[in-house]
Amino acid sequence: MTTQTTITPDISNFTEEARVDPSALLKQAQGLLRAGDAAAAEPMFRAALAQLPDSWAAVNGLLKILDARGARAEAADLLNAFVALSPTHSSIMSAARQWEAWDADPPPARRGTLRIALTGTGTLNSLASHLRVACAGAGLHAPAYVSDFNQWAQDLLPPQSPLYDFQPDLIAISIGTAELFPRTVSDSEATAEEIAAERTAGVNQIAELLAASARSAPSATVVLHTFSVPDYSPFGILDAKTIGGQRDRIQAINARIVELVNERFPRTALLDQERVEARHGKDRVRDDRMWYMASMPFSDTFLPVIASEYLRIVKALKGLGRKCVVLDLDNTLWGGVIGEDGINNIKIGGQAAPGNAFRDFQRALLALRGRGIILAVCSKNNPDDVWPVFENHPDMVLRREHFAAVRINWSDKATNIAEIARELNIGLDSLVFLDDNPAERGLVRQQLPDVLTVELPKDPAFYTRTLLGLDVFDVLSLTEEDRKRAQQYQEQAERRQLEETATAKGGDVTAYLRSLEIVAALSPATPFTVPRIAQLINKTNQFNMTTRRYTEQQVAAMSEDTAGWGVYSCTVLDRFGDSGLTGVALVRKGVDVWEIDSFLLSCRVLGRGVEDALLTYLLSEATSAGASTMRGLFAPTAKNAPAAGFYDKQGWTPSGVIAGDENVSAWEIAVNSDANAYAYPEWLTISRA
Amino acid sequence: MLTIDNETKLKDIVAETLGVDADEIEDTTTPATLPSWTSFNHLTLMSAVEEAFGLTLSMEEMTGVKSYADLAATVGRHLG
Repeated sequence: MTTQTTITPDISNFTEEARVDPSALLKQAQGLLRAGDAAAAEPMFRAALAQLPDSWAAVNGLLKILDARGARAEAADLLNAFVALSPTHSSIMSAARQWEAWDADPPPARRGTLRIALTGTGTLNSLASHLRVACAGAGLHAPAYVSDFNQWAQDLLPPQSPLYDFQPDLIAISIGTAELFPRTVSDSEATAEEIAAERTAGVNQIAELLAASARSAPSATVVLHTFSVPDYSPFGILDAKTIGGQRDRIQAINARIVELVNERFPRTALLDQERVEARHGKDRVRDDRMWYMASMPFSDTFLPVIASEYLRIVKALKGLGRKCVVLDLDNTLWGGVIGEDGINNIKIGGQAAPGNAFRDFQRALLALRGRGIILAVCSKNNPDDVWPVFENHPDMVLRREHFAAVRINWSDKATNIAEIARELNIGLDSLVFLDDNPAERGLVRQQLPDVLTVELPKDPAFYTRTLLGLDVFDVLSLTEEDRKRAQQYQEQAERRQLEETATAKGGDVTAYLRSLEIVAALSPATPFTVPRIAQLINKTNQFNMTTRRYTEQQVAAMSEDTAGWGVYSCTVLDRFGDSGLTGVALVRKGVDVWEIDSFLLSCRVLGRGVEDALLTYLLSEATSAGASTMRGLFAPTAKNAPAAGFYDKQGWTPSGVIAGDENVSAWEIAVNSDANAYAYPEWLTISRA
Repeated sequence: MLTIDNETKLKDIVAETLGVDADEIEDTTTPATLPSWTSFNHLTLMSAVEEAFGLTLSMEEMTGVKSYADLAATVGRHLG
């Protein structure tokens, strides 16, 4: 907590009682603040907070003072630090109240704003409070709207409603199973036909809600809670084997919801209510007293659990996920130290602990790789000791070919990890570091704070659970590119090797590029490519001219608006493999001027002429449309240095900054009336749709 | 009756939950005298009291609390 460490309060003018008793000190400070003497109260609040770091009274007093003198950023940090230290229900409710008070003029948020609307069964205000505090912890300002009691239909169905007036970025729909499907839940005498009729009616109602929100809030992401099975059945123990029993009925409803969403509303996210409730313990999901007194569907203990499930969705939506896991070896991937114990004595696989725990951990890592997370190794070892384990040990799950980057040496890990990030062309904020050694973790945490260094438990029994509990690997839709990504990074390593050989021999770069046999396919967006295009827009940081983020809904709307927008993409293939859809351009089409709103390329394919080809393609499209000028924009960020100077190098003319945003500079070039005047780099094979 | 320590603790909880200073809370403080004591905050307050003192209140007890004095008496009964 910065507030505790940065200021050593002067206590010389405190009363004797206040010096020994922080509670008395607090009272004195509160009295001074009420009397309007903030200058005298501030050091007292700080001194009290240093002794009582989880005291809301101290935090609250200091917040009022910071707020009054406009120190919003420090106030926000203080509030986040307080919740992290004391994550109780009442702390979270207090923090939420403060965030709400700031809504009109919020403190700066690192990750921007996410407007959340909540609607569904019962009173969801506490859920909103937990969500906005969880979002604040992730650097997002999250103003929240909560529907009035049970007003979900009234808020979602009409084209205009208080919910839509709020202009949410995220709409969460949490309807209890018993509200929409009462007989399904508790009627043991209903016929199969009656249950089917209730199911159809309820699912149709959900379909109407989703259709209405897609119409009235087309750019919002909808999160729909699935329907959970209660902890008891009206059929008793027979439920498990009863066709049309309670569990069977509810699973049938969820299966229909999955069908509905995939067929008609592919951009709706489903929150797996059943799994989240089961994880917490179904008997603790609802506090029955609060339910009967105030229709609160979720207990105080369950709220943080469901809020963290939301945060997974939010992080995926905002592109805050991580792409690569960097792994230590000894006592992380296997038990023991290979350099001392030898290949026959390390613990991996088999029936006995801890070898079986390490095997399961490796399996979980391999499954992450299967959904596109890159694996890398960073270990202090002799490579000659390590490789035989990966190549020959019969019980290893992970093998040499599963790792896209490897550092096995005696250098410090921070240096090695920074190198891995450079080699893979990803940011440090895309990395997760797993190491059993607290000293190594401490070093990396201190040297590379952007890397997520996980507090791995001492006992390997809990490694897998810790890994699975991380909320940083999620995506809202898994694209073909995600599934292939780990493979692609290995191909990239092979390309680099070829490049090094080619340039070492003094060969020219063009000859190397030609030898790659690159095929670039350029085309307008299609419904199939929109999810990947949106994904790339939201996670590309380096070669990204403007770093403007758009949701999948917004990209879909642009791609349908062919008169106003051009949404183009580029997929790249070479002799080593398929890099997939890796380049995107969004063009705002004026009558004369086409303005390139966004232009970005995955770093995997940068520097091979693909960026030139995509730009050439835009120019030839502009020619066909009869435009006279092409304008490109550049907005510098902390990360997009590789994109700086791109339009300059293309020979475009600077035309000043954009009115209203001096951070954005523009370049222009006249569009040639003859499309044949445009030539693509000679080493590329171009295919155009 | 609450001990002085528990009285302080309880007032701190009320203060935190209802967004006021502990000094402002009197036995006669009620939802009518304190605008932030809404029916929603009332239940948050009950949860916070349960959490802090490690006790479980019934629905009847929760709805029976109409003032700070009632709350102190209810907590006092549980602590014995």
